Formats: sequence, structure tokens, C-alpha cells
Amino acid sequence: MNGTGKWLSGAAKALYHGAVWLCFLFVTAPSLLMIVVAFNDAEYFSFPLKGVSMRWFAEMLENSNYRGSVVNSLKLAFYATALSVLMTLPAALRLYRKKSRFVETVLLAPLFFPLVIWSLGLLQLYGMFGLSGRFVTLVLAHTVMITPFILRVVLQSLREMNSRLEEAAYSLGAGKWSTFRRVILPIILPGVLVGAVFGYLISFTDVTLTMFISSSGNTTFPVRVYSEQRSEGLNMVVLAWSAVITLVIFIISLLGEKFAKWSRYF
Amino acid sequence: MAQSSRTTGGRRFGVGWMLLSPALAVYGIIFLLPALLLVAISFQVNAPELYVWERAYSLGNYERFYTDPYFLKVIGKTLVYCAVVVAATLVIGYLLAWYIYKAQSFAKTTLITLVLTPLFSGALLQSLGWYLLLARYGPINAGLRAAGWLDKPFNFLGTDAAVMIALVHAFLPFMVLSILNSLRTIPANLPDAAASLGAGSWSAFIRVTVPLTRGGMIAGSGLVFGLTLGSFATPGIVGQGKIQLLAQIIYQQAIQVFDWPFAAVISLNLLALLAVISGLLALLTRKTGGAAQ
Repeated sequence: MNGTGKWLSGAAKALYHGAVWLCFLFVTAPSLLMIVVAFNDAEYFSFPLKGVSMRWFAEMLENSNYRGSVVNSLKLAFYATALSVLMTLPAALRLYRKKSRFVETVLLAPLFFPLVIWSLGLLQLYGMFGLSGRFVTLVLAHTVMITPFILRVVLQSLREMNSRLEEAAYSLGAGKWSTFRRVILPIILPGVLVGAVFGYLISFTDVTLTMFISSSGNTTFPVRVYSEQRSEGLNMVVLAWSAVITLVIFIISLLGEKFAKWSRYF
Repeated sequence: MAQSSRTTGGRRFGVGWMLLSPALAVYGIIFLLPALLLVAISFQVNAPELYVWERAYSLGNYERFYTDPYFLKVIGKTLVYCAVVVAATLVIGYLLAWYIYKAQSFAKTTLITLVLTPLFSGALLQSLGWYLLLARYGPINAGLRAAGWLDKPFNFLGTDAAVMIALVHAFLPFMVLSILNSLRTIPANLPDAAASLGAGSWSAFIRVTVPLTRGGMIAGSGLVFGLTLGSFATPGIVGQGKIQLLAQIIYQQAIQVFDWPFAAVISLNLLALLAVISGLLALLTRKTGGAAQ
């Protein structure tokens, strides 16, 4: 390779690395800024910061309005995830035993179905039966919304399982239930956990579906912030909560990738 | 029957459906029924004050939708958004996926985490971040003014470019992971084989690696297309009500105007559009032989 060629390939490499780091900056900038500005020592968002303080984090815990909606979100995501895991496990087991493309497609369909459309239909359904605004309607809708994510992960871990272990358990005289409980479940448990965390986060951060079908009494943190932002702008308590949530999600993502390599389930 | 269900013959019939029925029942009520209801309601003459069984039916809503240039313009605009966002996420996504694929242990985990965090923190928190970044007194304005490129603060919020950038950012992780996972299925020694046959690293990349990830690229594009088509929170916050995409219009018709039948008509057209595009993508996948994930 001559001098010019070396210089050219060096320049191309520098360009490539520069572009990559710019892209990573693009990916992280909004979350980073969100965390930084929550420490602002001022009544409103401003940049550069007026000073560094923790006072909005203290305020955040005292303001029961926002705390209430965060607790609501946590509760909703918990019930939806629990319900979804309970109905996904048996369904996944059946689909693993006896493949059915049709049933699998139906169960994965919400993944490809625009949420707005489905939410509109649900709004009308709940309205017809006079159930609008009930907490249980939110739980059921979120359950279906997150089921495809959980189902995909559970099915994949079932299919990666060594099926000889199951046969061995049967041939040693274990019944179906005890084979499930003592052989299959322990093997697929990491997958079930990963799926549950996926589902939990998706339910916790949802805006669209909840926006259509929740009432002001039981609304979640994201929907509350969305509607407030549109009418009266952002306040520092919201930014403090957002910073904390972003940080927690970062830690969860890191742990999930480090210990379960969960990016491969996408 | 309870006895025979222990044997294989009985299991095929009874227990199987028992395992599926909770999921299918919930889906039937919460997913299928609303979709069917939407079709029925789209033919109703709007009359919120009447009971469901008292309402009249007509094709009027559809006629209004197809003849009003405003809604056709919104569809066109939304499709332009979809095209821009898919193209941008494809290019940036491939770059990032390739870099992550080549990175080693610790760096790899960290970089994947950086991509996963915006994905998991959802549309709202990310668009709040963009709202702050682009605001009149945000860091981008501060930076541009410090550099002397702007003499007074410019409100980027509510512009098409701002919403597109925020949407590219929101859906980029899906594209990165789609491509990354298809890169992971390439046998590790294949690019080496290409190199040993005399291909330079660039030509091995273009002629061996890229074609093998076509499935991931198509799957990612389909996903990003669908997500952009139905995007709601991001255009709402970054667009500040000045950017109206399809999902926003549906919400407006349903919640603010209370015209549910018309909102249903818009929804069904959105769905038809999505079906056509997915069909084309599926055809493309089959033709190129790439495995969609």
C-alpha cells in the first residue's frame, strides 16, 4: 500500500469512528440532558444550569399528586405483567408442543397492530358496556398489549431447551405437572423473567393506549405528564421523576444485557 | 375422559385447548371485538346522544374521508414521515449495529445498553428530552448562539424537522436490534472466507455481509414504518400541536370532536395502508430470500 492509500484509509477510518460516536451521542443526548437538568437549582428548566441542587428530588417525594400517578403506573404494570405471564405460560407450552402458525400469529398480532386504532376500538367497547375509566379495563388492555413480547421470549426459551430432559422426566415416571414444575419451569425461568421485565417496562411507559381509555382519576404518570405538558408546560418535579425513571431503566437495561443478553430476543 | 387425558391421544384434544383458552378468550374480548366494533361503527351516522341500536347507518363517513383534501393531505404527510424515518434509521441503524457487532465484551454490553435505554424508557420520556433539547432556551439554541450562528433564540419545536429527528431517535433502537440480531446469525468465518478468496474488507462487507442481513433490514423497516404510522406521543410533544399526523387526527376526532364514526373511518384506512405496505414487504422478503425475524 502506498502513502496516499494509507492516508486515505486512515481518513476513512477516522470519519467512520467520528460518525459512530456522533450517532451514539444522538442516541443518548435526550436521556443525558433529562438527568442533568433535574439537578437545576431554579424554578424552571434553563440551560446552562443556574446551579446544582437536590431540592427537586426532595420535592418529588413530597408532592403526592405525581407520586400517586407513579404508584398507579407501577401497580398497573404489575397486575398486567402478572396476568399476562399467567396466560402466556400455558399458551406457550401448548404452542411449543404443537406448533400452530395461526394461533401464534393471532397472539403476536398486537405487536404489529397500531395502538391508536386498537385503543379507539377499546374506548368504544368499554363505552358500550359502561365500563369506561375502571382500573380493571386498563389492566386487561395492558395485559394484551404486553403479551406478544412475553410470549416471544418464553417461546424462544422453550425452543432452546433440550427436549431430552423433558423426556427423561417422563420416563422416570414424573407426571405432566411435576415435569413442568421441576424440569421445564426452572429451565425457562430466566426467559420468563426477561419477558416479564420487557412487558413491565412497556406497560409502565405506555402513553397511547392509556391516553384513550384511562380516566383522570386513575391515570398513569406518562399520560398525566403528556396531557399537562400540552396544556401548562413542564415543571421541575416532573423532570426529577423523569430523571429517576430514566436512570432506573438504564440500570435495568444494563443488568439485563450483562446477565441475560436480552437484546437477542428482539 | 379425565383418565384418558393422561395419554397422548387424550392430550391432543382436551388439555391443549385448555392451555390456550385463557389467552384466546382475553384476546377475543379485548383485541378482536374492538376491531370488529370499529368496522361496524365506521358506518354509523354520528349521534353520540343515541343508543347504539338507535343509530342510522350510511356510507357518508367514507365519502367525507375520501373527498376532503385535508385528510388525504394528512395521509400523504404521514407517509412522507414514514419514508424519511425508515431511510434515516436504516442508515444510522446499520452503522451502529455494525459497530456494536464488532465491539468486544465490555464495550459491547455498554453500547447495547445505551441503545436499549431509550427503547425501554418509552416515547414520553424521550420526547420530553427532545422538548428540552430543542426548546427556545435549551442547549441547542445556547450552542448555536454561542457559535454565532443564531442571533436570537429560534423555536425548533413544532417544525417538521424536529418531529422527524425525534421520531428517528425514538425508533432507531428497533432498527439497530433487528440488524444486530441478523448480523449475529452470520457464521463468524464467512467474511474471513471472502477475504481469503481475495475480497477486500469493504467488498466483503458489501457483497457478503449486507446481503445476509437483508432479512433484518426488511423486518426492521417494517417495524419502524408501522411505529411511525401510528406514532402519537412524540409528534404531540415535539410538534406542539402544529404537526398533525394520522394518529393525532384520530385522537382529536375521537376525544375532542366526539366523532367516533369518523375516527373509525380514519383508523380503518390507516390499517388498510399498513396491510398493503406489509404485504409488499412480505413479498420483498420472499423474493430476496431473506429470513424475516
